Formats: sequence, structure tokens, C-alpha cells
Amino acid sequence: MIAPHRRSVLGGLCSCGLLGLGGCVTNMANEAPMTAGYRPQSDTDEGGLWYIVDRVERNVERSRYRVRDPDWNTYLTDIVRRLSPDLHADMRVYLLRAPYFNASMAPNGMMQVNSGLLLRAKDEAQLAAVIGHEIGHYTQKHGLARMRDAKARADVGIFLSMGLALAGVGAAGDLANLLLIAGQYSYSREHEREADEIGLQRMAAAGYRPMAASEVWQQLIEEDEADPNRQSPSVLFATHPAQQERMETLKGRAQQISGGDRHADRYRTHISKIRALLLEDELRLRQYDRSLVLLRRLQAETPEDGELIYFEGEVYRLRDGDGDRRLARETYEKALAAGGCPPEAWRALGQIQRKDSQHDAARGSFRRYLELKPEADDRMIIKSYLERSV
Amino acid sequence: MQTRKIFRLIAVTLLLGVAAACAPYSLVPPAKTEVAGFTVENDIAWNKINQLRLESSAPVGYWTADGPALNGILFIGGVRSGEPILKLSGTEKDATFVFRDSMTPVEVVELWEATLAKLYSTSLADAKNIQPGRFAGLDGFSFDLDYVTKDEVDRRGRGHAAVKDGRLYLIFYSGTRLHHYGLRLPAAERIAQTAKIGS
Amino acid sequence: MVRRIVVAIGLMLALAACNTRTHQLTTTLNRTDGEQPKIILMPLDVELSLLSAGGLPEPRADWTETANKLLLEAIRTENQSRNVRLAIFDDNDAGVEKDLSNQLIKLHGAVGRSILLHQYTPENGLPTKADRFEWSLGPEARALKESHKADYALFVWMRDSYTSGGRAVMMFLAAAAFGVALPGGQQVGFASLVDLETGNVVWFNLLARGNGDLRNAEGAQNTAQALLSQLPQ
Repeated sequence: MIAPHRRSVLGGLCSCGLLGLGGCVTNMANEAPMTAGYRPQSDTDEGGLWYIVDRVERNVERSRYRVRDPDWNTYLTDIVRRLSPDLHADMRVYLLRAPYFNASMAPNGMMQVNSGLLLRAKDEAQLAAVIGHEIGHYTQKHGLARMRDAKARADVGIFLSMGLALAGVGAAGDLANLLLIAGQYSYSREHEREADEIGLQRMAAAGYRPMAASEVWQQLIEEDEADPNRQSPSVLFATHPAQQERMETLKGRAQQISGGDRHADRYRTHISKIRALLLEDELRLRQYDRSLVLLRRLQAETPEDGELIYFEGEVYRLRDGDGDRRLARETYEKALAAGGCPPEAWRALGQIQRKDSQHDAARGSFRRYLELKPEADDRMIIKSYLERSV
Repeated sequence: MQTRKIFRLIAVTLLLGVAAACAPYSLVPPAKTEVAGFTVENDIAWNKINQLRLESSAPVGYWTADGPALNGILFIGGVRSGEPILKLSGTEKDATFVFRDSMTPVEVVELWEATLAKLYSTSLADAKNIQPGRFAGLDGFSFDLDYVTKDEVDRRGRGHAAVKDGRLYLIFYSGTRLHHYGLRLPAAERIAQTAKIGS
Repeated sequence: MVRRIVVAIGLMLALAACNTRTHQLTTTLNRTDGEQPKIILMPLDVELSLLSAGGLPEPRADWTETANKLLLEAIRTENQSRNVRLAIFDDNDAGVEKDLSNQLIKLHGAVGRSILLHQYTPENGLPTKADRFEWSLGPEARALKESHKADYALFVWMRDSYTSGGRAVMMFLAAAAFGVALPGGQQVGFASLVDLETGNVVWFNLLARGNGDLRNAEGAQNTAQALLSQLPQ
């Protein structure tokens, strides 16, 4: 219901990233790593931390943002089990409908994976790289260390100012907390390195191709570089260490390990069921340069995929810059000639033709759309296009 | 010194509190009323938000019947081609959220859906049931829009829009799906049906 | 935002030297078939925390667990002396969809926030509701009535904070240097009674005070009393 206090506490946990204080005070009196079935005493600071995230988790369970697709939830749980045969029973994965590259791990074993991450992974090994990294934060109890670190540093003013800053973050409510956790979780440089290394080792042990970890970073860098408003890119690990350096390190380590599988086909089978929805979410952000990098990367894997080509056309139609209309039309036509193109391509093509005053062609396209999707919820307005002369 | 820091922060908080305290709402009695470039006939009393935080290049107004967390009606009177319906971040990022007078109704609704999703930082916004219809004496269209914001209360909206002289006119009513949407829907529909552009 | 509202209300009430403020539409409860009115107690939303030196509440799991149990017991005891039957909300109860009950709880959150904002901070008052207390979850609330065979639902939200050693020092310094009192530990909360026939909030009580302790049975009983003593019968 209403949980203002909790929000500011979580805000406090996030102080490194938001205030940009540059490097957390390292408070590396390291905790013993996680053991199976572990649960902290309730009268400790760790118990308090778990209590908060347990409550957040109860809200995540029921969240409207959760993707409840049983197939995907089983698939993610299987990946966690492969990466963590020792501790998987203590971890729970929640898939959230949020179109950003992100995943997070709470100290109690609640892992959140954004749908935007699934869209961006080329194969199962890339997804496993991120999940393996998050498992690393869990096994090393980085969340607890960070809370203690923030508390030690921020005894007076900082917490209060954080609270104020966060009071303006948005409407109060449980999702705010959830997004704060998912969004602003930034660990120290040492913690990120440690989680990277653990992730690699677990990938190798589970038979995944370790090189996938550096590829994920490379892809993210490409998207960031394409984005003219590169300001709030993926917040996950965005701060420490620099992405490039991190990518290089992972690459070097992966070369030492080598081997492993991509599981690209298996991944494609799963992703194809939800990809159209994820792409719609992506396009709603209207970050065209980023989306184009993403789509071209996916197209490189499966060049004749009508769905991917259709969404590329959508980017041009929405962008509507010089020459985009022609580009959109050509791309839709290509999509319709390829397999697996959604009926919406006819509607999109019709809209372009209508704008270009090609009324007969437009009517033909709209008719085709309604034939393929007679129950479309915009059928009334589309029919009105058919009835009117212009 | 740390104490001083605290007090500076407290002072700032109090100031914010005071700034927010100057009569945020005023009464809109049932009558013919001018709002944000429209003239409408409202048959129930509404509460107008005096200092709206939403910004647009066009005149914008917001009335609520039961509090902005429960329901309200947004008036946007005349967005020029090339401008965003609402200013979202005040930066060039808004450039991809602009209205163009060449847009089809489906595209306008698509833009409004994206604008709302961005405004509420949500991925759950789903426009449907786009229908042609008269609005403000023009050939326009109406639509429904289901969405969820951070408090995870299901909300529903209903919009009416039309383009005149290259400008977009939009009235969007919304409220909690379980109750407050339906509670004032007839009153909101009456406002949309009587809306005229200008005074 | 809610935190700011609650803190502002807390300060206001503290200055006015009163602990609770109540709005009510009725003094008598409806009852079905001549029996005592039945109230469902919705899941308690309680959190106890320690105020650190900076004034940040740090939730304490152990205190919260204890307080949940004690407050539940105290509310039961408080209602035994009244002419009502109390039932505990059961999410698994057949007949009402989990999703609907979850949405009703969320909706009550939004309505509760609106009441705090518009009804308890006068400058944010809605002119159309100036002379009446008119808040509702709507008739969908009837689903709870049917599933639990109950007449009302009672929502309770409590936040209780205690002062740490570091915080006490800060308070002392602040008072010495500026002659102003920093808030110490606070007990803030509300109870809201919803008529399950109409969904209307028929009674709402806000509690805000600088004392009280939910960590022991006596304190919990005291809080339950302060929250619920004016509940209609």
C-alpha cells in the first residue's frame, strides 16, 4: 500500500550511483559467501535488509509488470539451475515487462530480469552471462556489503538528501521501490569485477560459451554509441568500471577459458513467442537509433525474418524524417515478401500509401489487413478509410 | 557543521511544502466553461488544478472530480505540428514524441500512448477501440486506453481528438478501472460531446 | 510524496497536541440477518524502524514481526469489547479472485493517499468535497462481502520509529544550536473502515504522535485503542 519509509531506505542503498560520489568507500570486511538454505537472524541489519526485500518480493509476485508466461519462467529457472547447481533452490527469477537492458539481484535471492534484456540477447549464452553475473552478487552478498558501506559513509546529510531526491522520483507505490532496486543498483568496482569473474566461471562450468559475456557488453556499447541522447543508458553496471574496459577484461578471460555452447536455436524458439510484444515496447520508447542497431543485430542472425523487417519499417515510419516514408514502404514490402510478417504490416503500408495519396493501393492494403485480422480493435477506423473516398 | 547541513535540508523541505501549499485546487461549477482553448458544458462540479506540472506548447488544463490519484480530465487545446503533445523531459529527447499534422488517427493514438507511457515510466499502456467520430464540430476520433502506473492500480482512459488547421485538440479522461473511471464517465463524455474550439 | 504528507500531518497534529483525527459517515454499523456486524481485517501494513542519526528510518525485521503479532492480537482484544465479529482476510478464500482482491487493496492505497492529502491537509482540500467526506472503492468491493460473508473491511497502516543513540545526539545538538526540536521517534498510521455493500469509506482515523511502542503487548494495546476506540458499533 503506502510505504514511504521503505523507499527512502532503498534510496539510501543506491547512494553511490545517484550522487556520483565517485567510488564507494570500500568497506570490504567481506562476509562469508552464501550457503544453501541461508537465512539471517531477524535482529541483525542483514535481517532488516531481507525483510525489506521480502516485502518488495511479495509485491513483485503480484505485479502487473510480471510476465507470467509459464514457458519463459520455466526456461529462466532452468538457466539459473544450470548456472548454480548449489544454490538455485534459494533463488527466484521474476521476468518483468520493462524495455530496458537490465537485471538485478536482491540479497534474499530475488532476481529480476527485464524483458528488454531478453530482446537484446542473441542467444542463451548471452542471457546466461548476465544471470551468472547476478548470481555472483548473490553468492558474495554484495548487497549487504553495499548497505553497510552506504550506512557507514552517510550517517548524516546524505541519506536525508537522498530521501528528498527520491521523493520526486515518482508516485509512491511499490513498483517505485521495485524499479529503484532494478534501476539504480550500482555496486562498487570490486564487486562488479568479482561478479563478472564468478559469472564467467559458472558459465564455463554449465557449458555456456564464456565469450558471450564480453559480447553482451560489446552490443551495449554499440547501442550507446548510436544513441544521440546517451545519458540514461542501461544503468546496470553502467558506472564501474567503464564498459569498454570491462568488455576487454571479460574478453581476455574468456579466451583463456574458451569452449562452450551458444544455444542460439533453443533461445530463438523461446524468444519468438514473445518477441513481437517486446519489440512493440521497444518502439514505444522512440529511441530510433538504438532500436535500429538492435534490429540489425537480430537480423544478422536471421536475415529473412519478416517480423524483424516489419519492425525495422516501423522505426522509419515513426521517425518520419527525410526519405523515411519511402524507406518504410520498401521495408514493409520486403517484410511482406519474407515469412512470418504480422498482418499489421498491411495496415502500416496502407497508412504510408494513404499519406502519399495512393488511395487505391492504400485501400487494397487496409482490406488485406482486415481480411487477415477481422477482429482488429482498430477495425472501425480502418473501415472508415475504406468508405471515404480520400 | 553536519547539523547545519541537516537544517539546510529541512529548510528546503519546508520551502517545498509551502510552495505546494498555495491553494492548488479551485472550484469549477457546473456551467459553460472555457478551458485550455475549448469551451465545454459541464454538468457536475470539478476541481481544477491551478498550477499544473504538465507542460505543453498548447494551452493545457486538468480537472479532477475525486482527486488526481483517482480520476481526472485533461484538456490540450491545439498542439502545433512539430511539437510534442506534452513536454516530457524538456530536452531534445522530446523530439521523437512530436505530433505531425500528417499523422493518421491511428498514429496520433500511438503517439499519445507512447507519451503517457513515458510520462508514467510504464510499459503497460494499451490503446484500443479507435473509432471515427465527431469532436468539437470536426471529423475526429475516439479511443480507449488501459494503463498501469507505479502504484499498480489498473486505470482506464477515454480520449476524443481532432485536428484543425494543423493543430491537435485532445480531451482525455481517465480514472481507476475498478471504480472512479466509471463513476464520472458520463460527466466526462458530456464535456467531450459539448466541446467547442475557442470561446 | 506520501511520506511528506504523513510527516507534515504528523507535525501538524503534534503542534495541535492531539493524537488522532477522525472522519466518519456513520455511528452505527449495518448488520446482515440480525447478527453482530462482521468486519474483515485486511492484511496489516506495519513497519517498525530505527531512526539513524541522519533521520533515516532503518526497518527492523524483528520488531516488525513482533509488532504484527501484537497488533493483530490487540485489535482482536479491542474488538471483543465491542459489538462486532472480526474475521481475518484470507487471500485463498474461494469465491473472490486473487487479482480482484489485490486490486481492491491497491485501490484502497490510492484512496487512502487521497484522503490523507485532500482531507487532512486543508490547503490541498478539494472544493467539491469541502463539506463532505466522500471516498469510495466502489461496488466491486461487494466481492469481499460475498467471499467473507462480511459487512465491512478494516484497513490498518502503521509506521513506528524509534530513536537511535546517534539520533538522540543530533536532536540534542539541534535543540542547543537552533532552539528547534527535530522530530524524534514517531508513531503514524491510519485505520479505514469500508462498507462492503457500497465500497464507501465510512470511517477513517489518523493517528500521529511522538510516543507509543508496538514492541510490547501493552503498547500495542494502547495503539489499537487509540486507532479504533471511536470505531462505529
